Amino acid sequence: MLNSSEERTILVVEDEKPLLEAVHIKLEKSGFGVVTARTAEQAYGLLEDLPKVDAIWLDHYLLGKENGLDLVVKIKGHKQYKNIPIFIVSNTASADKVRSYINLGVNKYYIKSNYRLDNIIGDIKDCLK
Amino acid sequence: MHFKSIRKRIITTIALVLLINSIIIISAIAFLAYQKMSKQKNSDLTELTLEKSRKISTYLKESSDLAQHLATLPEIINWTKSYSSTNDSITLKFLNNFNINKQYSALYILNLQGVALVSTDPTFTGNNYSFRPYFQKAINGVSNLYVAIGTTSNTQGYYFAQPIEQEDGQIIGVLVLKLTPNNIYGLLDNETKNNDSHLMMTDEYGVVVYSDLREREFSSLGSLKPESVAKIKNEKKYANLEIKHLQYQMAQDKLTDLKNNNATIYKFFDSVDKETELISQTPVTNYPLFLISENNSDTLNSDAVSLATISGSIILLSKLLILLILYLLISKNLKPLKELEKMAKNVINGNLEIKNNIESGDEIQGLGSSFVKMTEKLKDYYGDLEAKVSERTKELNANNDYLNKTKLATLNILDDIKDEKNKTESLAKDLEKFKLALDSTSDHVVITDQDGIVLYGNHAVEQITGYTLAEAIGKKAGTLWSTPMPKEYYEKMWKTIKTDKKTFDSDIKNKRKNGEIYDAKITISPILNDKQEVEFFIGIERDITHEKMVDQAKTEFVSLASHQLRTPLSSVNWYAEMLLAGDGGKLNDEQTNFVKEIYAGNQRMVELVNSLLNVSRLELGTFAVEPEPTDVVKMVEDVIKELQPSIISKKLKTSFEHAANIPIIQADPKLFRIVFQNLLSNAVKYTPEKGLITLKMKTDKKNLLIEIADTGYGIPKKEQARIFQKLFRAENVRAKDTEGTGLGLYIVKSIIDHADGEITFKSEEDKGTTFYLKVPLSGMRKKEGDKRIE
Repeated sequence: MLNSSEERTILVVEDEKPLLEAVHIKLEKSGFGVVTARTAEQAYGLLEDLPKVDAIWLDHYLLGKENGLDLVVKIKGHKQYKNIPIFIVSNTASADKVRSYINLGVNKYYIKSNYRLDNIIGDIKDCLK
Repeated sequence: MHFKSIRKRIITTIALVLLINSIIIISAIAFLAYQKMSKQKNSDLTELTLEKSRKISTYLKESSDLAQHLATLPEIINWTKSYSSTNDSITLKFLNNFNINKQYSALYILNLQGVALVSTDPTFTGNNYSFRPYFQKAINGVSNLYVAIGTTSNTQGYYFAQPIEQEDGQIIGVLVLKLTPNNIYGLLDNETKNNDSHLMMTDEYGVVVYSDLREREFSSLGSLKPESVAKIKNEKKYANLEIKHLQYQMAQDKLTDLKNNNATIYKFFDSVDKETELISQTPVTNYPLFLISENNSDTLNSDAVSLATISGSIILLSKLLILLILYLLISKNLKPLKELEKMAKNVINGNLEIKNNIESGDEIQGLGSSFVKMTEKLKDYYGDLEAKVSERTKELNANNDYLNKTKLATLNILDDIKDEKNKTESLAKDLEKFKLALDSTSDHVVITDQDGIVLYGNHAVEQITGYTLAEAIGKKAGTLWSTPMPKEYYEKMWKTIKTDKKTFDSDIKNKRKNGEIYDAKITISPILNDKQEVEFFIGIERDITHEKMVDQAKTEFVSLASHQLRTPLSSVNWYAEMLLAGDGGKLNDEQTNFVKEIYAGNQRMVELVNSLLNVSRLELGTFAVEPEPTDVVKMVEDVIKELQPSIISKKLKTSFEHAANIPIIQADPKLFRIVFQNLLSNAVKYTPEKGLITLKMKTDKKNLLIEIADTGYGIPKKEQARIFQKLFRAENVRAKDTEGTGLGLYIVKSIIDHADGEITFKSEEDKGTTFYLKVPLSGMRKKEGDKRIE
């Protein structure tokens, strides 16, 4: 387990607990610092509280009133956070949503079930190099 | 035609006149000829009879004179006075000197007692002839002729008796000359050899002493009076011959008158010869003889007729000649008339260009000239008239045509009206039904004129928009309820429906009277007339608010379903991944194998869910097609690359041949990728180890042509027809491999169909399969939709 100043912090926003846990474990095992949230509000709060977040792993459907899209809109509208890479990992794949996320400037959109964790994490690593 | 009748009439009339004239003339000739001939004949006959009479008289007179001369000779007187038989020979010799020609059968002298003293015919000598009237007359001083048959000679003779007187006038004897009749007959016979005329000579009793018809001799003309019969008998005039009588009773009767008259001529019907005869009867001068000439007067008729015939024929011939001349003359004179008629016919036939060909130099030529002048005048007049008539005719024809057309049109219209009436009635019923149908339909329908002014609206218009029809009709369609759209939208709409004359489809937002906004799908179609001009527009609007909601619900359902299904799959996926990665501690081999199975099974489940979602989207028609410039070659290469792990593990060979000029085409890359992924992954999946997968790509004029061939298990022949069916998997591959959803080829076929392409294949079991794709180079049509195929 690495926990250095070089450690990158990933904010994982996922409502489904087992999945959140799996992502958490895998990211940590891959050397990332992980903070998790199950609602958009939590996630935004964490963004404000944490000194830095290097990337965001975001699901669409979340607990709470707001969904992933709402969160992305907020983040992309915030000058401090707008450059944080966002990776949408969702089982929801309707065209308009995908288009909306891409238009808002997210880094990539993954259909959760179609991707291995190590694939997505590999992409995040590449992005943060 | 006319001439013939004129000519015929003239000729016929003249011929008739000439014929009647000829008949009259011929009749007159016949009559006059008959008269004349009859008269002539009478006179000829009378003359002839008289001539004969004279000749005979003259001839007989010679004998009378001789008898008289002899009786006065002194030798005869003396010899008779002093008769002595001794001197007989001298006297006989003397007498014979006067009969040198032997014309007399006997010369003899009778004494006062009637005894023949001397005779040149010795048989007479000594016979007593005192019973003969010639003796009795002569002894009484009358010299006379007497005809009788000699009692001694028994032949006919003409006895000339002359008294012999001495100087003192005393009769001392009678000198008789017996003349043989032959010379007399010669005189008579000579000119009477003719069947039509016969000559008879009779004595004073009417007994025929001569006839050219010898059988008549010694018959009386008619019946004799008894005293005459007695006298003849007493005189022994005709020996003992019985005197029969002939048929000429009239002649017999006339003998008495004739003795005092010269001649008579009359007609008499001969009952024996059965003919009318002309009888000429005359006495022989100074002698008791009569000549009777009998002529067939019928010959006179026939003579007259033949004369008339001959003269008639001549007249007829001459008249025929006249007729012929007349005919020729008329024909010649009619010729100019014929020419005139020809000219007239020409004029009748409309040929006014005529010439006067008549050169008869008479009034007809004059008439011809006048006719030509008249025609010329007519032509001038006609020329004017013709122009006018032609003009009027044109007008008339035009009017006629117009009238005919109008008539025809009217008739057609009447027919049409009748048809139309029937049609209209049924149409009215249909229209009523149609209106009912339109009114009860939930779609809002308006009909506008070419400027978009509403002419009709159905019941749904009121229901959907909240405006009444009274409010809507007469206003421009949509002004009441549509929300403002960009200028380009209207430009596009009008271009489509008015210029291109095509149907315009669009989704728009409308506003009800109460201000509520609603979604509407509108379709505007132009209605064209025969000249392809826009006459009306039909606008159909559907309130798709509900539809949109349903759609939304469906979309959300699929979205939710995919989310809900994928979430546990993701869970299994990721934890299995971590187990296999040793994130949960090292697994032994058996555990590793088991987790691998879980992972593989989960992967299949993920694929199945993805495919099912794609199928549902394809079937709902809600998937979007978003064409963009796509490099198909690169896409294929990427897919092959993705499949590389499987290719390597199965030791398959792949080849991709493509033409150099494959263009970038407008296609939805996701959809195309699905196609290639499915086809190539199938090829990899269903080809045994060390097999070959060949991919070829080229273009023709319009299409992109792709062949994907493998040397795999192939598709059994009996199952080939079902290969594109949903969830169908061939028996042979199911037996060999449990992977596969049976949805891949179904999805491929659906996409290719949506792209207006074609997919076919050839396959042989255990030899391989080749799929042939044909996709238009024009690319895929863009399609709005909510979902993307994944």
